[in-house]
Amino acid sequence: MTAMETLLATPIERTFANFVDDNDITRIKDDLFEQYHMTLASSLKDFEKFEYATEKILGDEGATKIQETMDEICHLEPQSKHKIEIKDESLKNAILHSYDDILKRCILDVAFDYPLTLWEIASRVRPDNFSVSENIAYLISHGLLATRDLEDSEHNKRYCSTIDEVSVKIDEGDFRVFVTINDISDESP
Amino acid sequence: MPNQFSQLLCLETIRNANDCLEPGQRRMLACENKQPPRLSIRSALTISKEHDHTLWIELYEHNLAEKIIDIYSDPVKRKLLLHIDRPIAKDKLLKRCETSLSSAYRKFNELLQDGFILPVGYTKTEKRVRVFDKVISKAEFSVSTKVSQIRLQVNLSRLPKPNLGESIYP
Repeated sequence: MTAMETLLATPIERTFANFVDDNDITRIKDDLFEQYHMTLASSLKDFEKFEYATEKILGDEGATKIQETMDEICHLEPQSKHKIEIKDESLKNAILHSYDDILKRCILDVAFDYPLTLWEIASRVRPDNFSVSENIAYLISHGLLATRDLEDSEHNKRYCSTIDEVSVKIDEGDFRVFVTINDISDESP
Repeated sequence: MPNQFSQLLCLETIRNANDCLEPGQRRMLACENKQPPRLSIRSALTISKEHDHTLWIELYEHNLAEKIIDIYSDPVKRKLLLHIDRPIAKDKLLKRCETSLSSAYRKFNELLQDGFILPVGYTKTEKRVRVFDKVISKAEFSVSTKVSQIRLQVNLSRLPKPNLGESIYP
């Protein structure tokens, strides 16, 4: 699972439904569960499995539907395999909101250099702050903190920031957000 | 009420620098607010004039950079600013945003108080309505967990030059 897959998982799940009908999505979900015992959301963080199941159910059309979904969410910058333009509005808002919030930014900073358990993150941020867990949950649910371990249990799972840098370009009515993916979250543990 | 953003940016100083600078030149400015000491904020910025005569401002004032990031992180404020493509009346702008009117109204007032939007004149129709314009026309910033960099273009051509002794804030 890569940082990019984690970051894009939620918008892909939401946008994929615009291109594929409900029955086909149910069949893909069933196939994922039978083959890998995973949900659609988990498979999106392990993208090869999602691609395999989609192409199995939709045939050649599967790859096209995935491409259409990806085109609506993001654009890979040609000069860098780590830099993408985010097109999905909810993801843009989640990223900007997280980097604007002092506590969330502090959590991302703590988990930037190497993966840490939730307990380690919480204790390094502000031991007395009760909202740390709430903020960590927000970052995980929006794909800004990633783990390589997809098991359900939280025991000793290590998380790190998925984003290295966010850059924004505003030109009159045009608003573009680019993110550089954090390399360390893609390294082997 | 002081127009914080435009005061911090020292629009008149920037306008003067724009007149003096040749294409390719850069100038560093340290602006100080002429407010009581408790409000006195010094902002450091570099103005550079590109060869196509566009003027870019690079900010070193951390609070100001944070403020701009804060503004563009708010979806409603962002929508309001992105929908201003020329001087526009408040009601027209709020309708354009297609968001909750009460929220848009509140956010508009915050932008106005913070000085990201300025009143620039009146409509030429029979019923005189105040029109507003944004201060920043282009901006580029990058945020990581450690560094914030920001450069922007100010909408100098569309913003009126304030008359001496006349407050620009309504």
